[in-house]
Amino acid sequence: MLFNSYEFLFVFLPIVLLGYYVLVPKRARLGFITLMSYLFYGWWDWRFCSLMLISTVIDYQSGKRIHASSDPRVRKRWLLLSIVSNVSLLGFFKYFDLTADTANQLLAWFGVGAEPLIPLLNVVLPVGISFYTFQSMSYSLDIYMGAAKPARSPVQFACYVALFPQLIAGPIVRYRDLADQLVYRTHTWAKCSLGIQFFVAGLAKKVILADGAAFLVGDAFEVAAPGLFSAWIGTLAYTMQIYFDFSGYSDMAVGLGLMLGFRLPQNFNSPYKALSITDFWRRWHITLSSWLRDYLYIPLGGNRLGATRTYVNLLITMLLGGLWHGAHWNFVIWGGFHGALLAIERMWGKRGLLTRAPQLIQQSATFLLVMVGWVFFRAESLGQAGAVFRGMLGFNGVDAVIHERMATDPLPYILLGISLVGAFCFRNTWEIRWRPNLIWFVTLGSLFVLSVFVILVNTASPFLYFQF
Amino acid sequence: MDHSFRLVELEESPPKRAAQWYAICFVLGFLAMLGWDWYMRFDRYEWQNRLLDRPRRPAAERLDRPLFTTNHLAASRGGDLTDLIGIQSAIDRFAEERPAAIQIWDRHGFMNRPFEPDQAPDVVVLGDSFMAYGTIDTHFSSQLADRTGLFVLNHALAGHGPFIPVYRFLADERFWSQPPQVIVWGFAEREISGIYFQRFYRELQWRGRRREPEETADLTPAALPQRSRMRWNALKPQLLKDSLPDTSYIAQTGQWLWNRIRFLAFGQLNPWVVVADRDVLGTDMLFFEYHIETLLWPESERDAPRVAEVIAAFRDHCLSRGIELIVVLIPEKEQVYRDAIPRAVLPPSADIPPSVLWELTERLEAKSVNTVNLLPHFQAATEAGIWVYHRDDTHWNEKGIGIAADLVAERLTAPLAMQQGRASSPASAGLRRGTPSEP
Repeated sequence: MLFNSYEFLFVFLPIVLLGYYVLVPKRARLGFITLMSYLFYGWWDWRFCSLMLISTVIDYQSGKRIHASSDPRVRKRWLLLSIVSNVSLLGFFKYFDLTADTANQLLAWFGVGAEPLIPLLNVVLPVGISFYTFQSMSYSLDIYMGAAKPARSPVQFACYVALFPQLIAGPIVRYRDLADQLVYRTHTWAKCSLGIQFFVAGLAKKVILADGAAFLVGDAFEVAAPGLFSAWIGTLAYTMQIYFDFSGYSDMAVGLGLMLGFRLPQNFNSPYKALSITDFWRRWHITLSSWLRDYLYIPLGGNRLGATRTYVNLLITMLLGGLWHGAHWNFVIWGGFHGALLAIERMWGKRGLLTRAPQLIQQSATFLLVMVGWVFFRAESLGQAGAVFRGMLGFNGVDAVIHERMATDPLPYILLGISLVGAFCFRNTWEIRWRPNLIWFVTLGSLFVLSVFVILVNTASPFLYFQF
Repeated sequence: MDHSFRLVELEESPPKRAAQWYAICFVLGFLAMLGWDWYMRFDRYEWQNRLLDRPRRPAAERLDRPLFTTNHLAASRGGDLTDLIGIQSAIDRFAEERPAAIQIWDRHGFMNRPFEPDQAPDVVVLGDSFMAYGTIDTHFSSQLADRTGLFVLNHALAGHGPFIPVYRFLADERFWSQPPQVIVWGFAEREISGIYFQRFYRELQWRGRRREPEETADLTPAALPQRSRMRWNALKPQLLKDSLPDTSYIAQTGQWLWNRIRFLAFGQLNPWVVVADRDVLGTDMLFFEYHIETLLWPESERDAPRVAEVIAAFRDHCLSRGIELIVVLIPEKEQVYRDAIPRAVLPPSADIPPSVLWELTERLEAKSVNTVNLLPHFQAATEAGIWVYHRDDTHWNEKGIGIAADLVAERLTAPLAMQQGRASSPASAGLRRGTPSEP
């Protein structure tokens, strides 16, 4: 179920809030949210609920056993079970076909067998599997590292894994951040008001700005040889689309969490205002960055093993971070590109050219590099990414399609302009100091009604991060 | 800063009392919106009807209704596409004049010229809105009757697709006791999809499942379920995703409002309506965006082999009741005038594939199904400078209907001659399972 769909807004959400606050006894609230979260997830395909259940059962048991045992070998064994089961789930459903295809191509390259040796299974990717397996795995890891205590009941843990506001596309919440809230949380009007504000702001970001910009993306990524303007505007549109799409989803998740009494973490902090790639990764998908830092980069040695090893660790972390986004070599290249930039920045330190440049130059250069990275991220193949780059460099000629489209349908261009102003010049949702007065009420109320109209006039479009 | 502290700070920054009223007003506003939408869903859009399968009342129970009802339609301007635009100043250049007309409806809800209630029809016309389109003197059945002198009964309905009239035909006692000699079943190109036809076939099988022996699907009205049943399928996520917004008053209001804003602010029409990018036969023309989409359907979605098999199975059923079937394949207006579709509404680098009507005609003829493909005739008419569609409507005009009626009239001669002296239908005929025609 999509947050920006009729069935969520006008059926599921009212039922959840009514059940949570009115119908269900307080002690059964957690169970109710869990049940509704499974319903929310099963709306796509009920069979995938079993995967989430398997992950939940294994990690709950692992966490319990790790905590109960003082024998390091037993503790390690249970941790291994948790990691292997989650990575296997993720590996099979997400990476089997990529691995098989790559292996077949390599074997064919070496002349082994005329026919593909490993059959492709065309495995259907369960939505949100990357998020909930990471989240579930962090539970066992935190208990192993002594950073968290095990859940008091299976329902608490099941609720943590399945909590529908953040189930599909994050933010990736650590158990230790949510543990206390699963036991006790307050429900106040202030929290509810703030939740409404976050939810409406996120919904508007998604359906008005992200989906508005999306109309222009095809000009660059759905043609064989995009011209100069099409390539730049299409890439810029995708840059705005992915930001407002994902940050909109995260805002909605935080808003829904607040409506149910939970405080979820911030996932975006105006990433396009970053002054360097390092700064960008402190602001973009913050919960994933910190997950990778704590559970991958630091265990690899972080920056404690010398300069060269630090660069290698950065590269490995970002390559795997790229691969986490999808079973495609384009994502790995995107991750490698960012890893290389992070390593270069680390190498140059404060001696870098950009660090001495004016802030506007630093910000523009960072934004440009991020945009270049998005070409790999969005393109369906390396060939397509190459075509877009050729277009951006003017090798495909200067096209007139943009002028035609601007004349016949200017709205997406206007929305792209608003997105740019919003991303660079305004405070983000977490920085706005809202006031519960008539002006805010009318503004947010109108935004909500407008968003609902847009959702219903168009068909609900999926969030980009659902695929990851 | 820790996120929870940031949220606490945000929560605590406004005055508590104000936050409370703010949230309450928002919740009440949302509930009012929600309540109104659900009320209208049941009251205005009768969503409940999608959840319940109510058996049609037998023809005998409709005898208390007047035999015929006459409506006088005043002269008007515009068709379904200009109605969709809905902005008077925007539609003037496209709208055609419609003269005053008379509509006569029989007691079963079909537009027909008056006839004797116990008179057996020679020909029954089934199909979608194309077959039902027009006035009492111009619609397909009347034009066919005028050309052949036969009693042609219209049993096609607008707005119900090609299959509902077939179900109603099968459920109607009249056609079991006095079967027609020929059925003319016409439908538009957009209906040609393997999934639709497979569903049609399954429905026929379901309707006949109670009859013994099991190999025969009984389609007689007596075998139909007599009580309402819940359509659990209608609650499936995939169907709810469509049916809930389709029956939402907010969605309709939003659509209406958005159309006006688009037109006033950007001078654009409703996104569903596309203006041809060049004059067709010297005038402006409107297309329907969804119909353009259907032209791009891949072969796998069209699934012409499956469609041909289902039609052949239905033909076999008709033959078992002594009825000849003639299938009329009607091209979309967008197909006939495809050169005038603006490039901007097509996906980048997408080319419109050849019409599925060619392949389907070949496949149907290979199965000896009597088929009339109107596409070449409409293309020829267009080349000769004859309009066969309304420019402001998705349907054909009187001339288009006339061409179709001429072609079907030619085909009628043979079946009717064959039918001479043939005994009336066997009572327990049905769709046979396991026949070579089975999809």
